[in-house]
Amino acid sequence: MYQPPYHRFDDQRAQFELMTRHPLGTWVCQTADGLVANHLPFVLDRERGTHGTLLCHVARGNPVWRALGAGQPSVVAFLGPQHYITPGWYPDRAEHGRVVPTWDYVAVHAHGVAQVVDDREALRAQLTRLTEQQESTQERPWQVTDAPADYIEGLLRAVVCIEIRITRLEGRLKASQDEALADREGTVRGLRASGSAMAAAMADWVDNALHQPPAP
Amino acid sequence: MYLPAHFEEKRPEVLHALMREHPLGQLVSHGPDGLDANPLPFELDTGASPHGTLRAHVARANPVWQQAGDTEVLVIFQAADGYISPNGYPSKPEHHRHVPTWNYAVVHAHGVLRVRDDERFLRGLLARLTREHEARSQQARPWKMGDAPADYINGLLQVIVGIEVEITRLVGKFKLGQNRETRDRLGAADALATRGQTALAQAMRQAGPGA
Repeated sequence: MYQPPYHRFDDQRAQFELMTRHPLGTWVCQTADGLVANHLPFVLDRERGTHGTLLCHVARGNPVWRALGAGQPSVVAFLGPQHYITPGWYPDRAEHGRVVPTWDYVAVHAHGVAQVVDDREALRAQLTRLTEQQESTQERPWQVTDAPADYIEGLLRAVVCIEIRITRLEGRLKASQDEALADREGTVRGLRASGSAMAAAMADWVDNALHQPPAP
Repeated sequence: MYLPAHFEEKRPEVLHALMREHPLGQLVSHGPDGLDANPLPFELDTGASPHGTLRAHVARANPVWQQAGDTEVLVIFQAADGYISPNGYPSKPEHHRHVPTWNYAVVHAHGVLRVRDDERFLRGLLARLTREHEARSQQARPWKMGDAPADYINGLLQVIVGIEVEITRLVGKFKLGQNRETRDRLGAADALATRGQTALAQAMRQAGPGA
């Protein structure tokens, strides 16, 4: 991913936070049939490896796990909020007009080699962790043990656990940092007034970036 | 992409609509360090080729246009997604044979990337992209390219490069609970709506029969 310095997003803790808040990753591999992408919720183990380890599971019927060549690199793309940015939000556009629209977004790309892990307990631990992470905001969190044991055992046999030890993390925070201060403030107001949850989430990032020190 | 039959969306107009409503595509290509991905807003031209043609621009400083020119690429478009808790299924208390899942709708566009280092191509693309997104975001006074001074736009055109992908294969996966009982799909949609995830809730309601 192209990462100009003013869009730098290389703090690993912040990258991990984005990956955890937007866990549906786009996992891309090169196979004999060309580029293949699967969309899967990932669990991030921050403690394993220098850059963390990603875990997910795929249906046994998904050919991707058999197609994984030894040592084949893959990438998992996580996308946070994103939104169109109109110059209409820029207060001084009428003054000089030297502005154009853009698109803001937050993205983290995790590179690594994917491996099949044939371990029922590792799989169970992953599903429990993913469930706990997602159910934590529910009024009465659902638990894996709420379902009959034989039903869960059957499902565990139908999926395969995949592990990707991250070797490289790329991040890009495209949050209008290269615009004039007043225009960035106008963008925050414009996004907040848009009314959608996505726009409000993007506004938070643009606003936060306003309070970060500029890139060296 | 793993694509069970009940999640496959084949109607071109539905796939094209998703790409238009969610135009920020992930351009996946091969780079010197392995696979590369770049999020870019794309224009979709459905009149230019049978499956449609994608156009975008990248910074001239982004090496992707030199690395991926004339190679097979994949552009991924994604609508709203979300975690589905079994708590939303009305049938849950009857048998508890449910587990959580994740719902989403995506379109994968495959094709060969062509570099369009061409000022006229870029000028047309930027004008159309601007017109489309100003209209979509319902600006009271839509901004136009002509609102900026010519020398400013001319300068910007020097620092970007056009790219084009004629789509040769278009695949849609709409994983929206179609494999469940209608009451469970609708119940899960209601639960999402309560939590403010209205876009995904709406997509799930439209994915099969109503109440």
